[in-house]
Amino acid sequence: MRLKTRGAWTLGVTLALAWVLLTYASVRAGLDDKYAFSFGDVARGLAGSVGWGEGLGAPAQAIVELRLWRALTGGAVGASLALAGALLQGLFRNGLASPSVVGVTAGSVLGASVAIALIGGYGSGLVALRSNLITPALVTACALAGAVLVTWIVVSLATTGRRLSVPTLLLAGIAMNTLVGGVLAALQSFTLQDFEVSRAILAWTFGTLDDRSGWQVGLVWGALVCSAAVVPFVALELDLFAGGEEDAEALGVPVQRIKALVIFAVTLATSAAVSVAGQIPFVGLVVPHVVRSISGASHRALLPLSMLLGAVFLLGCDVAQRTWFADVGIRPGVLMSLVGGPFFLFLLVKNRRLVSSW
Amino acid sequence: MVTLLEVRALTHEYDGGLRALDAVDLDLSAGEVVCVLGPNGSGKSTLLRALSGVLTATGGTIALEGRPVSGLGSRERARAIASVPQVLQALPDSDVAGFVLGGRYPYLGWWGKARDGDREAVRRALREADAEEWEHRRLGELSGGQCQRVLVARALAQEARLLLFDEPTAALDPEHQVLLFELFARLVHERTAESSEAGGRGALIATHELALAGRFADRILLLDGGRVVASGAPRDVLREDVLKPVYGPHLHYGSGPAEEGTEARPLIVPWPRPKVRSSTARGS
Repeated sequence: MRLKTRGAWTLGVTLALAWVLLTYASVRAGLDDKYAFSFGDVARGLAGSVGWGEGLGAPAQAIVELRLWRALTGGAVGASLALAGALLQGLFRNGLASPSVVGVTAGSVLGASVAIALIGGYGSGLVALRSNLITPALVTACALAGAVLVTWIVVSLATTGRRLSVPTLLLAGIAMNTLVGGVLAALQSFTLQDFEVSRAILAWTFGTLDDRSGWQVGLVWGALVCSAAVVPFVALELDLFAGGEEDAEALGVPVQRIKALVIFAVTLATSAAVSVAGQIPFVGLVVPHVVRSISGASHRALLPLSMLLGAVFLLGCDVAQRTWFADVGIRPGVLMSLVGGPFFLFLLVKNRRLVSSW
Repeated sequence: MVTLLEVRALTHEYDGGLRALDAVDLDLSAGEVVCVLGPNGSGKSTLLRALSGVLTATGGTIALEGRPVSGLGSRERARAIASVPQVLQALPDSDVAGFVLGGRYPYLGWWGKARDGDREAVRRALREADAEEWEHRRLGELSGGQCQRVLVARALAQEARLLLFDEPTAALDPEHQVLLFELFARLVHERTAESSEAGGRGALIATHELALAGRFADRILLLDGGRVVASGAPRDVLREDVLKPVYGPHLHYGSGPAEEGTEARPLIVPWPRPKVRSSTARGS
């Protein structure tokens, strides 16, 4: 498959710049003029937070850091989910695939909900109380464990001998999603009397970027870097998957190894993103489609560009929400669905080839 | 003649105990077109899948130019054996040249960077398969016959010495069936004649086209129930006493027109068994 090289580079550079600008906009969003940080201030604050230079000094440094963690988390979460979606759509050769199909999202929500129920609430709107630092760590750890556990079950069910069957993976994923959904519903009905707990679980299923901390930024960025490192080893191969697995195998593609790498990257990226930010819908499904309609189906362009556009999309929704809908209290995940749904429909109607070729 | 492929006692049992191949022996030399015949379920596709490395046979050995195939890595194998599938599961959203470049996968470097040699190999393959004129068309715009040629071109781009074809003419009109078989014969015979024997190609074609097999094959391998029932020159295999137990009675046995310098080839076509009118059926 041929690369539309120049268009891909232009889009890539534009999106990367947009990511940087939106990160800055996210730090600035809704701040008083008293804290009119310049771009340089934010960069100095970031450097200071990792020990380079002196930072900005209190209280500006603390404000910048708190807001930077949110912006950096948002970008990495968007990038991770979009990358995972693009990888899975390539593996399944189906544009309906998204990170949730292999059960990783459901497992993560279940893990987090169990943790919340055990702790007995999570503070208002997922804002962890400073005095209770263990709470977000426990919820994140449980979400991560739940995601990995459910994905591991689904993948082992779909593997016979050493071969992973992609159709079985899809069906096992659907079955596990149903099962986990049932357990989650049961958990929610048991905790219905406990207002704190049921509200925290509900809030978590909406997803949030509020009040992230430095270690969470590290977790989601670490996972993103590791799964992005897989891209050069699977991009060309996923192009050759288009004619079917056997065809790819006959061309010399190590099919089983590629499938394992893809599942590894998807699980890592999604579980880290969801365990830090909760359930963020839609990015993983839609972003790869948008990129494909611009830069073609080659995964060498699709995978990196999906990452960039995912980051820009989620950050953009977050900035827009905090700039224009701050009083309404709408969450970025909800805003994303409200904006992204109609936009996706518009794309479908305008460009039907998008669907027919997939 | 240089032996390209040496298959000994190849046996494959699917999970559940179905024995699809039973001690199959096969030799194929450079410059030979061998057609694999046999009814549905006789093991033709399983044989080709085992040879292309998609399936690991449960028993027996496959050697390519004297080296066991099981010892080859996936890329190394794809440089030695190219396989043309019956159909693709889906047509990639790609142009013809980009698709044929996929055949260069076993040679491509990191990130799929194509070098001049790869592009030259793609052009050569398109030319050899008579597919040059569609180089810039999208795959989805091509007819069935054109698509088959592009698939052949991709296999040629692999620069493998052994070409495998699984029912390549299954969806084609008679004109394109003949043209495609002519192409196979040319690819194998001309290439072998013009280069030294060490560089010659061989082709293994699984097909139901008995007439075309009779016309174009140098040798025929007849499978039934996973076993080799007969193997040899077309005139020795395409005979009523050999075929009838395998294919049943619905075949007509004739002979093609004699061509210059060669003897007439057997011409076998599907034909209903002539109804013998029973004189007792009506009574009087």
